Amino acid sequence: MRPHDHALSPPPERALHTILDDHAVIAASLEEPDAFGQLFERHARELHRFLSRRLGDLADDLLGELFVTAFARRATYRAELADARPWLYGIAANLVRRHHRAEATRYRALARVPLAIVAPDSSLEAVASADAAAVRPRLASALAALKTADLDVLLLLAWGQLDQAEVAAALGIPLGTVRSRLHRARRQLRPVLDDLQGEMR
Amino acid sequence: MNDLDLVDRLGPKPTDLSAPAMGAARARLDAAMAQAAPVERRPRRRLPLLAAAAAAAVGLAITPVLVGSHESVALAAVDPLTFPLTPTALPGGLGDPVFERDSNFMAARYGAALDGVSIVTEVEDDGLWSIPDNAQPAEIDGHPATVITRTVFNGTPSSAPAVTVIWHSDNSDWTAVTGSGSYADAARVEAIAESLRDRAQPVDLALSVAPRGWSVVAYKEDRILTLAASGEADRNDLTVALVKRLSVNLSEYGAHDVETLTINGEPAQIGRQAAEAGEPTWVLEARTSSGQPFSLQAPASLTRDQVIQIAQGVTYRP
Repeated sequence: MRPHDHALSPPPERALHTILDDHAVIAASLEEPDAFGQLFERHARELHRFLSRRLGDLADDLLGELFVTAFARRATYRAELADARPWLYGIAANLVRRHHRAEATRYRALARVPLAIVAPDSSLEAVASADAAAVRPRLASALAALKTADLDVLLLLAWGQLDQAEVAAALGIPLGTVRSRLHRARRQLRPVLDDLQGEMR
Repeated sequence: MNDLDLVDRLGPKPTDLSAPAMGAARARLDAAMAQAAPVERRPRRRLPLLAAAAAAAVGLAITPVLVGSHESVALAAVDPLTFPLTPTALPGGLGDPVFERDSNFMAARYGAALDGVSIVTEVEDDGLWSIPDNAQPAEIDGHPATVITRTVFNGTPSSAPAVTVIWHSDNSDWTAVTGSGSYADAARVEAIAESLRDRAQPVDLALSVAPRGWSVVAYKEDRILTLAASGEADRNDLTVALVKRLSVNLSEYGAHDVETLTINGEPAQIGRQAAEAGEPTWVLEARTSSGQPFSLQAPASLTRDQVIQIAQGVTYRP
């Protein structure tokens, strides 16, 4: 079961203690700033994965910026959000938008990468099969063509493993807007996804 | 397999988060936390970048390196950092601006964050701001503009209402003027935006020399200046930070081989970062010719004499 398939069901892999503690950690950090470090320990690796899929090695530099930004904005954290991941992903998405040119360039570059040099690039390791490696450049090319706003929604769902409500919270947009952007992204990707689906069978 | 699964499975794969990269990121957060920390954290606040470099090396097996052994680095004059715009119709009483530069913007703030005026420019992408659906159209200097109302924060639980006008200027960058608190008035903010002129303002903290080819990658609150070789921000950078007072002994903060010398006619210290801190860096504390204490952190690729020469060229003119 994937989290984004069931908007109201927290994904089981998120341990309850983590979900419940994030808000407490952020609240505590208002008085004791060092407490915020716990948030880094919990979520840094996951956020780096998301950033690196979108921006490659630039993720290394942006990870620190992400948490420094989050720390500076911790007073704005909404108490009703127990899990800080959507909030952190929202900041991450903002950072990625600032580097949208780098992101588009990365996807276009991935789309052009000959298969012969796919394997040595750690960002392009084969996932499951040679077939997957063969179709990946076409998906990268299709992603490069999406509007940034639509791409944000799609990738927060697909790579961030957020559900639609969490994406709405992350981006500060209504749930209906999330759905319409996702619909638009899916429609635009449809020809490529249909082809990929066929080739993956 | 649904669409999202396909995008997940066939999209670009993540890169590994290396220990040094994770350490560097954590170090930046540590430095930020130290800035906001209570009094007992003062040593880290005074030398946040020492802590940053130390954490950056977490997980590395460190072999002692002869600091300053590289001969290939040459020093050259540094182009002064300036803020490119000057408002000519600013409300009285806001005082001198505080400047900030980051990788994707240059900013000037007049007054307080929660009650003042800020100008942000050299922004390549308007995604820097979240533009709500109820944004209002406007026109600044003949360019279509957007006016948004929002809430601004200053890193504490406090916040203030704000009005921001954003437009795309002739140089292909985005510029925004924000009025916060008592200055959060759309007409007032638009008038300030209209008054901007292409008149550069120098920042307060500057260097006269730095490694050839290096440029300013960050400038924070008129207090911290960071230069780096192109594309190498956060790694082996050169940072000058104003401090309230000089350390009695740099060794208290993890430096070793501390040497006392004279810079600008005043006592100064230079040392090396403790070996367990990882990649060795130079650390130096001195006063500018105007008497402002500062700390300087420089990469090991520089020689001792080069670090001293750079320190001699630090100026602070508030």
